[in-house]
Amino acid sequence: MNKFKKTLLVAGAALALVGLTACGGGDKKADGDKAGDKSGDVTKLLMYQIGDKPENYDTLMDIANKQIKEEINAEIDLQYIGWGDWEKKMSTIIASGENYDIAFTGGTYVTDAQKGAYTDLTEMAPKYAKNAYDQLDEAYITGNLVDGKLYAFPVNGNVYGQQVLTFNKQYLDKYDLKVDDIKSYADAEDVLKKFHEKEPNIAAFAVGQSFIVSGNYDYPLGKNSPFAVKTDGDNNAPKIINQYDDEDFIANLELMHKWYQDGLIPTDAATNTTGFPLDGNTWLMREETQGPMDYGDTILTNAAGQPLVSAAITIPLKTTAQAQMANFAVSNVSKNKEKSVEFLGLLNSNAELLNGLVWGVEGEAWEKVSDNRIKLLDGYKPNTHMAAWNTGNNMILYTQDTLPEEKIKERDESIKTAETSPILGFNFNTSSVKTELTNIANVMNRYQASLNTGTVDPKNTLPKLNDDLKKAGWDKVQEEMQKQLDEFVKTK
Amino acid sequence: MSEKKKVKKVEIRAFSPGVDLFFSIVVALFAISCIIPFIFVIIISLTSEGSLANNGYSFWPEAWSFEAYRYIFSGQMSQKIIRAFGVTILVTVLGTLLNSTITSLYAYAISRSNFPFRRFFTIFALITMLFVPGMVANYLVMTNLLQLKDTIWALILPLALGPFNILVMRTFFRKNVPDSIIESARIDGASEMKIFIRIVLPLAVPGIATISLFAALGYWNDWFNALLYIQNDNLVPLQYLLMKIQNNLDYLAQNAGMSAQMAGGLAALPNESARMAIVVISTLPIAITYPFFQKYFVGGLTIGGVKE
Repeated sequence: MNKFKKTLLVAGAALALVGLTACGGGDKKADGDKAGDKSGDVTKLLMYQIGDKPENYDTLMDIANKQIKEEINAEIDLQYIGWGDWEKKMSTIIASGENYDIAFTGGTYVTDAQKGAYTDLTEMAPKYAKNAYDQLDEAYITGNLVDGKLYAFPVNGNVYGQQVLTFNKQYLDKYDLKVDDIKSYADAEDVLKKFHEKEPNIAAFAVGQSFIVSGNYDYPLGKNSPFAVKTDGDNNAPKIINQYDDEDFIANLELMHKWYQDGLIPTDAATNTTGFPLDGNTWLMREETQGPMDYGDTILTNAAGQPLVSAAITIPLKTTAQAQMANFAVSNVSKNKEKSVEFLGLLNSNAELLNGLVWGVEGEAWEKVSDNRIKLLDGYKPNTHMAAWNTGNNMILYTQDTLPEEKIKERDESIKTAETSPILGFNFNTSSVKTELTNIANVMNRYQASLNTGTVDPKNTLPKLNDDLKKAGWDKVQEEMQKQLDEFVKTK
Repeated sequence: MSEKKKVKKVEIRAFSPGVDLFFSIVVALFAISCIIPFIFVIIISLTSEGSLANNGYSFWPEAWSFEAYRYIFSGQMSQKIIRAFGVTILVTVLGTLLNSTITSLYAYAISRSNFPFRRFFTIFALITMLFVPGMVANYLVMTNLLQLKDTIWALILPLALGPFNILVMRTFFRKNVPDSIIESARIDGASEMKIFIRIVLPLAVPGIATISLFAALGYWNDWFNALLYIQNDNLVPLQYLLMKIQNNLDYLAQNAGMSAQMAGGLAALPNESARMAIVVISTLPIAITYPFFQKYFVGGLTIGGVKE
């Protein structure tokens, strides 16, 4: 026993020594400061992307890096950070001033840009990424301006968004239900009721805790905050209102409550955080956001692996949220700013490069059938390619041969005709009302889920909510926001 | 005047039966409330996904299934999970050895009254307990100064020495290793190292077992360091893998409505019962080691080395 302990101790001491020497030496592979090392004139760019690494990451990157090297003499080290870890990890990287070149910006784009974490691209983007920059819709530039400067290169994708009610087609066919005439929540009641009679155990309207009733509004601080601008109002003098005080919104809340009582909404909606799988059959109707690059229900149906049919309930709208959906920023500490912008330009203008990442390996996952049309092969599997929405310019992506020509025409038409939000590009400076906003967020946390899922009766609850909002300082924030917005409209 | 009650029996080390029963019930309820959630997790992990979807959680599901465990050992994530399990074990074993070694050495030195810098080194350790530099400072030290990003050491070193454990051990040495023993060993001609290994350590086994358990638990359950420093898939520990899955699910479920294209991400994640099975796999081993340390805890911290 004694001998054993002695051995343990010696082993421990030896380990400690090894540990100490290992610290001093440092690992040669540590890439923290290797970003931007010029090894044989090829610039190595370190790039952070959100999400999960594709299974065939090595193959995809090998192919891509060959092309990138040829075009701009650079190589990309693409590092993935998981969805849920993103905010924590990226904020640490930014706060510590660690060296990286390019990063996806997530939802913190405006605050990080104001902190000075990113390089100003206002002049660099048109200069080093001209081709790609010129293809961007005007709304992308306007929507991404922070204090008049552009700090990101947006992915040209769903420039507008519109809320749709999506139906599970298998049930529509089974019970012979029609959804063509649906233009609002109220229109869907009939279908939901009929379905609920037949299938009482399946969620007619699949909503969970994060569900918020939609309407023709745009939200300067996001959907979770009780500040909104009506988009079907006067676009030249937008007014900040509380949507929970707006009759259209209240009507919808009352409808939700009615549905909840009729059993059309699951009883645990206000606490359900797991959601309803798209590919499952546990639901009939859900709310989704669609844009031009979804080609109607094509993308949604692909993701679900079962046919889905949607009906729009809001107008197509170009908003700040859509413009900032997928941004790539160049770090302010990067040693290769020009190269980084050059690379972003290449990624967003070189069809061969981008399609090899988004569709997967050519000849294995897909093959060309014409200039910009492809046929998917058996090798096209989930997790063997990157996502279209947050990789690069959707306009140069090849389309599947199964997609009818008119859908592409429709796409281009719809982008032209989509409305622009009156507050596109407006970033509210919260510094003077931080406390009030925290209080308001706390109030919303108490009421939001139960109201929007119809769990409680809006007739009794809304007065309480609005009372609490007043106490939390809603008026002060509204005043400040309106002031800033009026300034913004003047200078537009 | 009422008659005095006869005292039948005096038992000074016990409560009266009624109070005894009351406390037993309280403790039993507490024990049950601790164990029930874990048993529930085990039950969910053995429930078939179908009955989860239809009836939600229940203590007696209508359909049992081992599908979740099959998923762990032969599903699409099995390699990742088994690898992560290996990483966790490696980190825990190495880390615990390192932690208990350094802690004992440090604590022993500051426990000796004839060590001149005793006060300085005690305060030195205490300061780190009182003033926490914050995450960014830690991050900078780990990544820029030590260049430990993406190495196994990034998981081991941050937890290798804690002031709390040092103080526990110091008190333990003070209490259990009387100066007279060390004195007599010195007179017999033992060197400092020999005294430490031959005399002090055997007396301190209960204390070392205690801090080893603390350290092992800390290493086993640590995921935050992995979040900060690990990018390489081959170095992901089990708890972080679990954390990642849960975080991804939360994020995607919250933002599912944002864009149709995000929905694809959800499909790649394991379902409910599989997640619970990973929880079981990641909790059981450490729960099983508890009884082995148990015997050192009970009274172990109060036994002295000699009678003075």
